[in-house]
Amino acid sequence: MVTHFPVFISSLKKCNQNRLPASYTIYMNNQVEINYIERILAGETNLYSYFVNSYSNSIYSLIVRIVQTNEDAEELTQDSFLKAFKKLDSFKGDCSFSTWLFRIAYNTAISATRKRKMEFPMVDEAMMESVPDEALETFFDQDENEIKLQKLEEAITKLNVEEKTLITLFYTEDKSVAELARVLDLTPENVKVKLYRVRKKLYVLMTKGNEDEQR
Amino acid sequence: MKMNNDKAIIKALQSTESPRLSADFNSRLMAEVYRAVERKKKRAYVLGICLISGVSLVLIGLAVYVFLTYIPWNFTFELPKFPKINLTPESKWMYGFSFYIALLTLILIGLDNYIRHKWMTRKSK
Repeated sequence: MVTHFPVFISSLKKCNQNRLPASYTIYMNNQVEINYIERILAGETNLYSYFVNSYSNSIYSLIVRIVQTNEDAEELTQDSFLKAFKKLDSFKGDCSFSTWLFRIAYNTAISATRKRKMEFPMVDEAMMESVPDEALETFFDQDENEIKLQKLEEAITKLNVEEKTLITLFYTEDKSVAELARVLDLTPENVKVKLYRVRKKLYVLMTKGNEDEQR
Repeated sequence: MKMNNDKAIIKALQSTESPRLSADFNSRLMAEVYRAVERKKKRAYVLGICLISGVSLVLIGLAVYVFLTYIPWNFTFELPKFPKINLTPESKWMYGFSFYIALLTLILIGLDNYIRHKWMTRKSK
């Protein structure tokens, strides 16, 4: 039953996607995960593979974006999962397991980058302030232009660690502002402001790149 | 601010080549997890042994301290004196008869036990 349970949950999620509110699905998922954690703490260590299978790729993609080397990222992903396992009894269940795991992974990756002294380009504050909100919305709403997408990818690599984490979790992992606040140890208001500023920074980095090319 | 509609950012993040974890990553990680569990068990065992040894040493030390401090070294044991028994011909007969009854009771109990045992083994066959 144990091996089929995750499959059942994922199929249940698919079936109920259009019928049940998202909060209910999240609640059910959390309950399942809390049950798993209780059983792992009681000695069923093999159940930890459920979490490893579910989150290893997401954690790895976040860490790869932060540390930028595949080998280090794989090692740090392993470290994050081992740390999570050792501290499993301190998981209170007041947030989802993935949020808690992302927080551990983020802190592990941050410690690794601190040792390396990575440098990120600075962006002029005045330039960022001068970008109108309407321009941002129309600019990022269109995804047909391949050259623009390529430049956007380049601009993303120039963001600092916190900014990369913010956009990765917000746009690809569908984390809410409250969850992001927990992962990054910030207030929800602060997260909103930072997300807003990241968009402006990306815009400036891209347009600055265009200006440099024209010169 | 409609940030969730930033299709371009989502597409750019998704299209960035995200390398996959090696195929045996999950199994290697689980092996590490099992090793960590074993280490934890071993540590708990060693800690338990150390704790028991420590407590035992403290108790032995305490016993030695109490022995040296509160118990005098020149103590002597006095064995109780048994009462003298004067055997008259009448009492000899009484003692003999009591001994015979006790012996007979023991023999009968032993015989009863032997017969029961035999009967039980025969019944079980």
